[in-house]
Amino acid sequence: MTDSEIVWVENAVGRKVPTQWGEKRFRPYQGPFVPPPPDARKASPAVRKIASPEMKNKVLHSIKEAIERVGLRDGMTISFHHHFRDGDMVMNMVLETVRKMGIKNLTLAPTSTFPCQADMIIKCIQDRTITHIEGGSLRGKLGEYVSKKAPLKEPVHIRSHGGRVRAVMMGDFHIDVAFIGAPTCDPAGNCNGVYGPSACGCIQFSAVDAHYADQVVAITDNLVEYPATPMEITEEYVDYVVVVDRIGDPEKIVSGTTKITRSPTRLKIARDAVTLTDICGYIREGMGFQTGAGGISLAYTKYLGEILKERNITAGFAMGGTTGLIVDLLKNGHVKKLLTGQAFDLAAVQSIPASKHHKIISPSHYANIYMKGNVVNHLDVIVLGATEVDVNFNVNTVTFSNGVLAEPIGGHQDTAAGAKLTIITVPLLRGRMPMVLDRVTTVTTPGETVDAVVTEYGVAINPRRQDLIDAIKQNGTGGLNIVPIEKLRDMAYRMAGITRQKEPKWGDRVVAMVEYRDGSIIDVVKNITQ
Amino acid sequence: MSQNSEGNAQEESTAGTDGKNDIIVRIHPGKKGSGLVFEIYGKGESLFREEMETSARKILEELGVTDAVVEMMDNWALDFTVRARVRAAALKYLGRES
Amino acid sequence: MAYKLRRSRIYIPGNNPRMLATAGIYGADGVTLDLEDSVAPEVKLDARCLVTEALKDLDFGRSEVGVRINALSTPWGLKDLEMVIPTGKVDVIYLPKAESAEDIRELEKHLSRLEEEHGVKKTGIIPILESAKGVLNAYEIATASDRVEALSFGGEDYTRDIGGERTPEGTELLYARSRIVMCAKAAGIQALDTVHSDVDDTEGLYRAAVFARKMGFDGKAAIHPAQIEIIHRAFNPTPEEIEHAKKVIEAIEEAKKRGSGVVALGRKMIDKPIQEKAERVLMIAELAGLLKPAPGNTDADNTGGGNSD
Repeated sequence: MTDSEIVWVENAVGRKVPTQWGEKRFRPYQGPFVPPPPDARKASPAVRKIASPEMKNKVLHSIKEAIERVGLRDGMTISFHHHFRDGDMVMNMVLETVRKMGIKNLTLAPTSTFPCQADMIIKCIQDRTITHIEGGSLRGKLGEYVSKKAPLKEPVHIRSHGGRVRAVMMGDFHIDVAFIGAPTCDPAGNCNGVYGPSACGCIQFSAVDAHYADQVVAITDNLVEYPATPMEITEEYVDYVVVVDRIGDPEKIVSGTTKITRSPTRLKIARDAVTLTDICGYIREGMGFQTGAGGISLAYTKYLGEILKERNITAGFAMGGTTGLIVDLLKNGHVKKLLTGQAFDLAAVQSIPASKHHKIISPSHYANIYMKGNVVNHLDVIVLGATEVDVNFNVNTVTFSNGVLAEPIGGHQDTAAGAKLTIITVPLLRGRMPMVLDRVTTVTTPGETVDAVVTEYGVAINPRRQDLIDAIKQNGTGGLNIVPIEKLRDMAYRMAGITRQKEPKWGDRVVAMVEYRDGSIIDVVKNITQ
Repeated sequence: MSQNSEGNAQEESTAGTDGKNDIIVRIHPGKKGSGLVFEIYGKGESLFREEMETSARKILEELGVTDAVVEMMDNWALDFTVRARVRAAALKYLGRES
Repeated sequence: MAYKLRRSRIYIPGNNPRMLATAGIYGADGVTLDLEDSVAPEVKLDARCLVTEALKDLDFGRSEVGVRINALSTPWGLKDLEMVIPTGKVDVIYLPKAESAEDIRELEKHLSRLEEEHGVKKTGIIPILESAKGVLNAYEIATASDRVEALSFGGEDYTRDIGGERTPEGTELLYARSRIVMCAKAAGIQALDTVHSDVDDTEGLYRAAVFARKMGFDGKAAIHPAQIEIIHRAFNPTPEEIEHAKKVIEAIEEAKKRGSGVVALGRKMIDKPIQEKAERVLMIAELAGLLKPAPGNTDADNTGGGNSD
């Protein structure tokens, strides 16, 4: 791609992003709630089949046969969900088969990737089985490979959960074949993630793929008689059902139990985040909250639960990647309902079928901004991590400070935009690297949607939120060390022994485009030189 | 190891551990006239090499250490730790205690 | 001198960079950077340098900055002073194995000299009484210098010194504790209790801290950050105590206005001891930040307020 074929503009967070890339056109980020273009319409998949009696039984016994039947050819796009996390076997099985069959130039469209898939994906990139990636996200070994070697001609698109669903729905990229790992499936293709030896809670991340892909192949290790219930994905959308021995490693799909951190600094950050929530006035009857599954998030959930119990109030709902800790809050009556998009441990997986107040939510309902309502907008508080934050409260999750691709966006952008109180919990330094900087290496979530940063050394409130500052004046600081964010940055720099931020050694090739929820480009990531 | 009988610098002096946020500093005699030679390794090397060397130099010059090789194996030590470990190693090297 | 809140002080091993860097985030009333028992002889110099550089760079938040040097009878104690005092960042020196007024005077001599030489502020002294002799000489130690701000108790070493055994009830320490409190208060200074070594025993810690408070101690030592909040909860006046103290003071003000020499609250006479207790409760509550507004109920983990800046 020559320079003349790329047009760069500065977007609303001050980053230079392309609006033109050869023939492709992109919108620059302009704000968190920009309406869709006036002529926008949803994309639609091909209609090629009829629901004839033969379609009662779609069972095949090898992935190879399924690939032949769907007519997978060079240049097509294939998709996968990440509900099996680091225990996934589906993507590797399919890619291995595809490689052996000599199919090339595929676009990989995973909802996210995990370490167990890195080697296979790298092999596929090296032998040109895969020549483009529509994210999801890149992390770990794969992220490092892409950052350092820049092996793909076009930049990878990195999206949030809501952003990916929107992109599929709007046809930003078209899925030819969706491969859906289904823990329970009947011969007609009705399937769910709730039951089975590889149960993962739910398979909602595949829902939009099933609805918008031209063809859908369900892959299961648990074929049950018709009709499989519940029906997260129905037979209406499924072309073939492949039965294999194993689709995932249960030990890695979900943890046995998720454990709260024991680190005193992380516990303090969690405790302070709860105190902040309290003094801002957001701990109240009927509140809706979301935390993650990281160590700090779990501790936050625990401390919040203790306060709910102490004050005898009940939260309205808890959203998000569910863990046993949250399930306990439901069981003990401290939260009325659970809305789940992903299950992180066994307790969560078991709770879904067991409780009528525990509901599965599609990522579209959760966070697809081009719909008429999202769950994220009902959140009172969201607690999120970061790889970096800056003095404008912009947050980075996709790269490390050395510029290497790091972590997924997940629901970060989505929840930050929707929640009334967005708290970023982050240690002031990681190793010797300041986490509070002048400018984040890559903008993932814009500062105007971020309300507070909680580090172990102090808390900073976004000056845009005068209402929070007023609430704290009234309620007291609760013993928190509330300081301007510049002071946190200065503290971090001083402890690290630097006066200026360190810049990565950027190359000149764009390896990734970071999209905002609405498909606009919020930042780009270049390759790094050694 | 203690001072030799002329009170000159020891063969080798070490301070610090391989624990988190720490750094191991080892000073041993270098060639005459070579000044201070730094060999820096470890986690913070790629990003903080310059800062580590600058902090170390300041202290070594203050204490009058020269013609020495200074090895630093870093595990994300903050600046105060780098200075402290260099100072301790240098004091041992010079046969002093404070 | 103004009362300094010393409900909690946390020991930080002086040769541990990570723990030094995070020492001030827990909101303890004091941090004690330790060069003595938590530092092996082979690395005394390393630790001395580390604590010194830490003092130069780090912000310890609201915590008073203390350093526990090695006893002056060791090869290390004086060298510890010579490195840490010139930083000008040390608020108090904890002197271990203090056994006589002479120990204090010797320390004071060195402190005065170093403070003048380097133009730094006057440092306080908190002797640690951890032997039979030390406890025996508590009063003379307490009054040996106006720099002595508190007497602290080292229960483990004391028990070893007297040939006793630690028990959950702590009877073996009862006399020593009582004596230290008595001598400290007779000398007009604070008394600080020893650590609770079982970090997982949070119930036991709370009980021990409440017991210490009732015995007259002003605070207790911590060896793990999780203990700080529990210790503060035990030493903070309860909402009821604060309410009552406020009423007492109100009644006194009332009586003054009326020009009456006799003060009563309900049917109870308020005499000097009751007044002084009420004033003390409110002073501590103020310093501990308990008189400021807080959301919900008065929450137990409001460990804020304090005496720094």
